[in-house]
Amino acid sequence: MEALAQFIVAGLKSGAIYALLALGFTIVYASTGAINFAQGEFFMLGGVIGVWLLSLGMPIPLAVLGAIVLTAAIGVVFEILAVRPIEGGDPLRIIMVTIGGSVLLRQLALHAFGPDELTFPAFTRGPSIRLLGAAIERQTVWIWGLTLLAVLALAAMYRYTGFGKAMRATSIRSEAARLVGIDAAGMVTASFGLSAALGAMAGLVVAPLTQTAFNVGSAIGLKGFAAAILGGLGNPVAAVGGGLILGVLESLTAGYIDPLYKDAVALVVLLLVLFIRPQGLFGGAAREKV
Amino acid sequence: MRGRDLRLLMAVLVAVLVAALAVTMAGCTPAQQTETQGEGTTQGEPIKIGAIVSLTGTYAGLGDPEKKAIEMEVDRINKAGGINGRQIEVIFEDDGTDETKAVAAVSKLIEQDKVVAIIGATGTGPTMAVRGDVDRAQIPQVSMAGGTVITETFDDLVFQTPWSNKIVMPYLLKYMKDHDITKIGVISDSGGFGKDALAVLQKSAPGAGVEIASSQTFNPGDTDFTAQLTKVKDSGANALVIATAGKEASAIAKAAKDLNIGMPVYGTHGNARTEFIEGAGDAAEGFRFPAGKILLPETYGTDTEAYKVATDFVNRYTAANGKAPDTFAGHAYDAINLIAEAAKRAQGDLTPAALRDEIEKTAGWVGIGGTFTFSPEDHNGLSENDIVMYEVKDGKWVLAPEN
Amino acid sequence: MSERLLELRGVRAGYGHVEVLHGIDLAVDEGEVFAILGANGAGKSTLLKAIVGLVPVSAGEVVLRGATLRRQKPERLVRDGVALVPEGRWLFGPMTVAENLELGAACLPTAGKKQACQDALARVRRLFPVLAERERQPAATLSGGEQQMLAIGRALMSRPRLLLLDEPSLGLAPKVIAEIFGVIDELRRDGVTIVLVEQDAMLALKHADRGAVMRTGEVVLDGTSAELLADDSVRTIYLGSWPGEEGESA
Ligand SMILES: Nc1ncnc2c1ncn2[C@@H]1O[C@H](COP(=O)(O)OP(=O)(O)OP(=O)(O)O)[C@@H](O)[C@H]1O
Ligand SMILES: [Mg+2]
Repeated sequence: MEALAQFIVAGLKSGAIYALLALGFTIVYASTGAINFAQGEFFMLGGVIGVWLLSLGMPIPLAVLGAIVLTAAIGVVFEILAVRPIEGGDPLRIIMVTIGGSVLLRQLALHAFGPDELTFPAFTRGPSIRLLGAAIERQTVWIWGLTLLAVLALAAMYRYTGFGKAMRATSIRSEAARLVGIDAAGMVTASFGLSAALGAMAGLVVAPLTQTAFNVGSAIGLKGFAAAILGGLGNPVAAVGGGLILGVLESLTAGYIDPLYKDAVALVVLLLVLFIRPQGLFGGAAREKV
Repeated sequence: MRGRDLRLLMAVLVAVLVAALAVTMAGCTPAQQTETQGEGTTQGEPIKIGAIVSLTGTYAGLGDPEKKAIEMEVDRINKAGGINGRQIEVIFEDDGTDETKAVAAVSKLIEQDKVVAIIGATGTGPTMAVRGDVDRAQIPQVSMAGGTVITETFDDLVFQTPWSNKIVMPYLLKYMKDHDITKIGVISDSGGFGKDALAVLQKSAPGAGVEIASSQTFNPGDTDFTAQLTKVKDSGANALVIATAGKEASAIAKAAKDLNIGMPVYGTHGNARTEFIEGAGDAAEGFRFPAGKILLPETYGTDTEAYKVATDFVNRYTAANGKAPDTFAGHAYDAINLIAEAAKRAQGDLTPAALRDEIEKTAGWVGIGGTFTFSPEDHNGLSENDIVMYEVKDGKWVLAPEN
Repeated sequence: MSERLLELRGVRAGYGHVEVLHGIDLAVDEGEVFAILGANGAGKSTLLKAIVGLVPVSAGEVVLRGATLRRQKPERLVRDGVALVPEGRWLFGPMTVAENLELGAACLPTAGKKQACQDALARVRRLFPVLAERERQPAATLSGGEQQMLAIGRALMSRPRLLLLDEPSLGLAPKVIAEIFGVIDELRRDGVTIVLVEQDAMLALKHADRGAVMRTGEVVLDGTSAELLADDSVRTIYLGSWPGEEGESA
């Protein structure tokens, strides 16, 4: 019983990180119809830039905020330089460009921040919290809290702000959005900025637990992608659901079967879902439903 | 229409690739320049040595200090007049911690650059992958990787500078046994280092009177270790042994503390890096690991030759790079100097065969990893005398009690 | 004579390498309803899209209030008072009627936006009372007629001076068509200039001041509604559906 609680805590911890990445995939997919394979690199950039800002003497909250803003700016520049010039926004070519971009970002990070793993201190220090016999690290509480905050903020933005509605409108039908005066190209840029910010946030909250380095992006990016597909690439709720389910599934596999099989089991479940429910667990693969 | 699309796509891809390459090259250029700035008399051609290091990929953090140490030593040797009047030229290739790339690199070094010896690789996998080409060309290879298999699967051309697990693991087991630890839980990575360490542990544990109560593995890149640690905790082990050279070690140590597994945590020479201690933070306190004496040169005794060699290396490396060397820089120092010393002793034409024979004749040479004595049966050349047990205290490693 | 609002001079446009419009000349005056007639595939929708810049103009010029437009974009033109209600309506289906209308006002300048938005909304509610009852409902769940009303209403939220309507009667019942054309008449009285694309020539010319007939990407005839109605060739060749078949489209 105690072990089960512990495995679920662990799964929800990884799952929250996957959820943040899946959200990033979902947002870019909604605006372009393409998968952004550089998403994992935004995760990496958040962490390494955060460590760099700390080394400049910034306090933790400022370094976190600064790293999120800087990574979002990199996402914006990346979209303007690499994605926007693609004529007609062909999703296949956007995918190619993001694959190339991920290699480039990784190399740039290697040369800017070095090959060693970098340490980001825990947001708050102190012993783990006990709950139902499970130990919960303080940083895990941060992970959950900030993920929840991000999801709520995102949902509120989509539902209540003009900007959020304009983003939804663009993803539903970008030409129609242009007809009512929305800068649709700008919305695509914004979607890259937003998903970069979410990726950076994921990279920052998990860095105190695992350290970070120039090469941490691709593996976690694939997990986020799997979570997004599992959820169905449909809407933020689906992305979060996909992330949490994937995380718990992995953790239970590791706990009750074998840690080495957790990736395999996750993959099998993913394939099964795709086979039985191609639109993902949470309905609409329709990219209209941001 | 389609043709145009494809051309555009290709253009974009090529542009991105070129950019990525340019960035990679920028890091490599200085290394590929010929290092012959010394004022020594250059009679004849420089001695060409190929070095395969991991500057990118998983082991980038290891390959980088290795390259720096080799560059520093080549510079020193050449400024002092080179080897019997000939300069040394080291040609570096990055294997990206990838076996395929290592094979491509070694054939370039052999066929194009016509090197007389190979240093490398950084990792065990690439080291083994290039063996076929090394055998065909019949040139000596000095590896900086720690896998037991490198010298265990014997090849008279292949040498190895780090302490192999065959020395470290029995030492670790003995130390634990002396501290009343008879049941251990092991968490090892599923890559080369972890597999090798685990295999040696499993082989030596019974003889050492230690039982492996639980053996858990993880994949490089994993971020959560709750399942493994829970199983170790439940297995009734008296100690946890983390067997990985990867960055996951610090996350495992942290999680062990957070989950309150309630037993001492041991590591290996793969954790002898400041980044590990920084990453694990408080959780590193009390962590013990066996490694070479180079981490604290005074353990040799301040009046010894080894102490002199070690402090000289540490001082020069620190001055050149603004950062003290880690053990990997030391393995690289040993590799280049073992070759240079052998080349100095060689009579007549410096053929790869003559060089190999001289390397094998190395006896009592004091390097950074310890005192090397090779023989036709032993191409690792180090012994238990060269390692000690360390413990992390106040964020630094100190000599563990009762060594 | 009233002022010239929109003028097309030798406009050529198309999709990729396929040219659809082969040099269109047209002039629309301020305050009038101008009908564009023609068979399926004549290029009517393409013409409207070219005016707002959804389809690139490869040669010739589009002149709005005396100023030649260069590389026009729809998001710019809607700010300059030109709104297109496209064939197929292009509503934001999953979003509510209220959100669709709100997005219609996205282009309004921030200064005084709230007031302008309220005024525009009041007008839309007055013109299409049924929309007011459906505001919380997703646009995709509306009936065809209601959707067409929402499409026009959304365009009106930007307070256009020039409204481009692409086949507003398509697929609708006569009663709904009558309601929509009543709104067109009312907008005309309000001083909104309207370019009206229609298959149903009889219906269009009844509400238009002037018009033009297109065939395979060219204007083959233009003039006042009366002139066009009187033209025999127009009747027989291009306006095949007439006379007296208004009910057909239901
Ligand atoms: N997106 C497109 N790509 C390529 N060709 C197109 C495209 N849209 C329209 N066309 C072609 O352009 C020509 C004119 O089409 P358009 O839609 O402008 O005609 P229309 O007069 O509006 O016809 P309808 O009365 O059926 O709406 C047609 O031959 C059509 O096939
Ligand atoms: Mg049409």
